[in-house]
Amino acid sequence: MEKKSHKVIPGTTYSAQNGHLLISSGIPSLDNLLGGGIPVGTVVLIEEDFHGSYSKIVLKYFLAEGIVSKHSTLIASQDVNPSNIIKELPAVIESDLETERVSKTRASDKMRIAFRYQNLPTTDSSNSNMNNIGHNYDLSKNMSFSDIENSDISYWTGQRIENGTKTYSNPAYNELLKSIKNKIKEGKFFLKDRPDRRSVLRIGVHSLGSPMWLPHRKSLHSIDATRDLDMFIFCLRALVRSAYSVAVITIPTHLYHEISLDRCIHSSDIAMRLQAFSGTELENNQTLSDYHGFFYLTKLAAINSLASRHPGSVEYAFKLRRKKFSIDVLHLPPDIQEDSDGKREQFPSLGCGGSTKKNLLDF
Amino acid sequence: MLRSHLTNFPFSKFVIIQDTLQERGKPIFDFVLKTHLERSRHKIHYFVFHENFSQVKSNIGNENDVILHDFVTDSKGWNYARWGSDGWDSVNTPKVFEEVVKNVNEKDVVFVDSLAHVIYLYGLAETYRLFSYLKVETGVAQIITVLHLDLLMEDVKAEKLFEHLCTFSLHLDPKFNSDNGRIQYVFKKLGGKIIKEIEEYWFEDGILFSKKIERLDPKKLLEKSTPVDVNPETLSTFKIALSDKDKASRDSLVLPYLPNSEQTDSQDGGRIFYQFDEIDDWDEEDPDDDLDI
Repeated sequence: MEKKSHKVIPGTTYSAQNGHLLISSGIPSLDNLLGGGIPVGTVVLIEEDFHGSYSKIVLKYFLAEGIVSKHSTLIASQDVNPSNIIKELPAVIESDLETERVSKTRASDKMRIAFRYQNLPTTDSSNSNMNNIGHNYDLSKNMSFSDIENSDISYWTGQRIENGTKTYSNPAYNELLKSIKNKIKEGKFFLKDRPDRRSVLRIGVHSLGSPMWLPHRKSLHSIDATRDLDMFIFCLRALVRSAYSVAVITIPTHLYHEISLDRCIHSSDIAMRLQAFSGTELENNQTLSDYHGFFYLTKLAAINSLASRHPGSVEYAFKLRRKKFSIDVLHLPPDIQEDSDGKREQFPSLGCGGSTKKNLLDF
Repeated sequence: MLRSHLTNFPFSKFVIIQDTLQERGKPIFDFVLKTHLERSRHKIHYFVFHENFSQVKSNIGNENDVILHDFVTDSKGWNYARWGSDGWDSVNTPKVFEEVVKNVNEKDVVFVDSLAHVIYLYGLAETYRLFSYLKVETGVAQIITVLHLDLLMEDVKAEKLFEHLCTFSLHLDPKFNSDNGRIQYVFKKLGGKIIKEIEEYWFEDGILFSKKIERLDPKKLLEKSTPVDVNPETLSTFKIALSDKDKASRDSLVLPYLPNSEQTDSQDGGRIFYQFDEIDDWDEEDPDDDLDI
């Protein structure tokens, strides 16, 4: 492949590490985490949170970025109408919302003893110097209707399903694969194709493997009983690898057994998990009150290279504001014990005190 | 809280009451039905899948807002069958749930008794699809159904799948340390917030009451058990605490190494010049190395 033809693809960049073609996920903090973006030709698996709301937002960012970068889109869902997902895509904005909030330190925050740390930046600067290909979005606004109308979007709802396949117990999986293949063929996204203007196909599958994908209309099988889901991801990856396309699939994995889940992760290239705090004990944890959930990067495949880019043993958390979704390194605040009433304890308890009972004489 | 979650507007879209033979969920189901009947703002579809149909009919009486659907008495369409050339031909085709569901209008309220029997009749996948259609496509105000957990097979995990679909799931537990039954519920709000709570519930004059069961915090219990009335002030011969005046004077003291904005123009006496290093001092050695800790 000549490099010239690559350069004209809008919304893409090359990885500085392995020269792979990357596209943005639409979330700058996620792009940084993945080493600049999502490599073209990969399958990204997102494990849904319990309510499924945060994973939907990540999917929307991915699709919105595609529309802004003039990529083609295929969106599939059986649980909700895929056109509704497209209608709710966030609007693109010029500047980052975060920048205005920096350097707002109150006078009381001024450090008296360790004053030399005062001017240190609070965020890791090593990430910010990467050139970002993505755009910024405002979640509180919807993307304009004309932008959506002018883009190449295909919908798949699973309405027309023909029988007659032996590979899958639910023909819907086969049907979706066929639609994806046709879309790739028609849009000339295959590597061997030579279209006039090269573009990237973004495939979004919402809630794949949810109970709506259960096999046989009358069966009483368990959701784990079939191998449809991991087989589908395996075939999808083969399809996506041979084309200029990226697939992002969200799966309600809390319904699945761990073994079936591992098989799915094995067949995907990048796997991430969103674990929301809402409805769990962690919700009341004061140290985590800035965040809405843990973000785990379960798998980051080494593509076109021997050395995998490992982000290190850092914990990540995500937060959702009114306008913005972001993923941060989880920083625990200084360990100032506060009791559940919210009042600060009158006497600081240090490590020298008795371990179990709290006594004023402990020092 | 339980009652307001159940009956207040905006209604939770899809309510599942999970019960067992030991602790029946029917009273709560009936209570929600009664509240909807008293308000009579919505048309109610009542799908009967397992009780005696005429009994249900007489229980509800002459309510105009309720449409009863009978899926019990003749679920296979055998009652009016006649003998044909190739066996029994049924004259009445049995009522199909799917057809009725498609005729449900917007803002209607749907009651299904019970979900386990719907699964018996149509299979798990089909039932899930029908309820998903009801919830997402038809725009009904509320769906309320009872799921008898005893009737489900263990390995299928049907209750987990429907918990995924529903917006409000109640799980009834038998009595424990109290005269009232307890209820565990998961309430998914529209914005994505999830409320998980355990409450005990009872009925008074046909009205549902509930009270939150406080979970005991072991940390707090421990704190309470140890006396905290020792005041170090009284034990020592010297003053430990700082008064407000003391604190103010402490804060006003300028330490010699601090960056000082006011220039001290002292003619006589020495001055301390402190030159900062390029990089802050960093001691590689562990100062506590020799300590046995």
